[in-house]
Amino acid sequence: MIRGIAIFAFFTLSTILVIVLQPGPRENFASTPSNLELFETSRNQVQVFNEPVAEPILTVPDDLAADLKAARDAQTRVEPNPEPRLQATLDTSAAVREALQDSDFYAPTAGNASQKSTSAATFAAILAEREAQAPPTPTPAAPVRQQAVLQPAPQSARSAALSATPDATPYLAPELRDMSWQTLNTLNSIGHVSKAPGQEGSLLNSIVRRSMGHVDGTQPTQAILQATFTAPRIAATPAVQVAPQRTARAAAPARNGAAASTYTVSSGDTLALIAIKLYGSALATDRLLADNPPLRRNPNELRIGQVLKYSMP
Amino acid sequence: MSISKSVKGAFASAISIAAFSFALAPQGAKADIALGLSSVEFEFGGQSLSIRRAADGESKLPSTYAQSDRTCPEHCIEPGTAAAGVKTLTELEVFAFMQQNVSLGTGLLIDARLPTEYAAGTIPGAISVPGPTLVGNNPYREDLLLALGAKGAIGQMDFSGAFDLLIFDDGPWSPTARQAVQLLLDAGYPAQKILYYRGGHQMWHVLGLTVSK
Repeated sequence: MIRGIAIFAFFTLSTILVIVLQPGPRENFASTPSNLELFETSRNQVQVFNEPVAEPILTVPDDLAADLKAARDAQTRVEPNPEPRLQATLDTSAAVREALQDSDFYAPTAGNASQKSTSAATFAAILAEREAQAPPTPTPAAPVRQQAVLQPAPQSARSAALSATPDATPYLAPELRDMSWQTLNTLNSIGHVSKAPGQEGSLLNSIVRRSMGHVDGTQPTQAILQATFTAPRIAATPAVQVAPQRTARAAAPARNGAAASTYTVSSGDTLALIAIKLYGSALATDRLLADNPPLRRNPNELRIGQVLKYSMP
Repeated sequence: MSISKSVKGAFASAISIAAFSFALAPQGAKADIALGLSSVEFEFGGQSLSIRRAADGESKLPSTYAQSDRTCPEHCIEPGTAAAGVKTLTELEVFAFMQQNVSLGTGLLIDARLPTEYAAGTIPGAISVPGPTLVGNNPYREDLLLALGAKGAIGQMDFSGAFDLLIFDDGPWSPTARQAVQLLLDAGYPAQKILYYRGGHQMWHVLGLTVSK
């Protein structure tokens, strides 16, 4: 029994000793200091020993003391009063809250743009910034389907809509459209509102309905519906097929006589950011794409120094 | 006799040392969610989900949530309530919501962040409804509201059968969830059917709770 305790104590002690008294890193004898280093250290030592300790404190020159005092004064003067800053913060947050309460995002109409710009711009800027950091996984069939729906539309009607009432029918940013479709898909897959594809209230139905309203407000014809339903099969073929038609249509707004200008892409720009800069809304990305056919074909071809055409409504 | 005794003693001491060191090591630490609550179990979409605390002794905040210098025009500290009439929940109340409303199929956990952030990991059982999709001029907003259980056309929607929504975002420094709440209210969603988890993903990570991918 005693022996057992003794052995136990021995083991415990040795474990603790091994843990506690671990040998530290040894001195490295391999590297001998060079002559220069030895000289430097010795000189430093000499200097330290020669220096009187109390002397510098007593003999601070007057001009230096004045400088120090001036610097300290400047520091205290620069330091702001916390009270007004806090008040300003509270004021701005209250303003943001007010702007939030009576605004719908992404709708900077000309009249009260200044009031709405705070909330809309922050949300849009955050959105654009995050999109820039990590582009969302695109749903490959969706854009092509949209194109297929738009193809049979009369070009004059669309360009007229483009130039006449741009704020009444804002262009939906592709990111927002994709996000909406994804969300609808997940929500519908929960089973709370299960709808057969194409049925009233289903995702497909709403996409068709919205797309029609987007073009000229008429009800979908049989031909357009047919195009929509065959779109997923078109998705397998490359987008080159649709490209020529798009360029032809994209040139329409310029012919319409809208004020055309150019914008040079700088570093850090994304399509959505440029849209915000030029039009005040990320929703205008579509319009930017329409004015620039090469980007329409591949939106990832945005390069620094590239000159984009854009037209103000 | 004495040899066997000493061997036995050595063996016993070795075992006791091992047990001692095992007890000290963090691996064996018990991490309940609250006193008497080791895990939260609930059902969503025919799947049973479980939420626990991280207890492997190595769990650390991901770098995104360890960052504490955040600029204010974007990451301001959010107020305690998202909007008038919308209740703000704490973690334990979120668990109660999961076990009651979500399990019964009357409630939804809504991740208001962007899909990329949702895909990187979210609260178990949450579905992605990005805040920007609820903006007033999104042509699909009506469809989203219908999918959330509302009936009728926009302007005269009946929300009596709609889901109870628990909305969260990245954390108390992110305005996304509050903006989403505001947009839902603008769309006519009743305030008593909306709940706000202000802690969001930041607090979820701080507390070491299960994250689903």
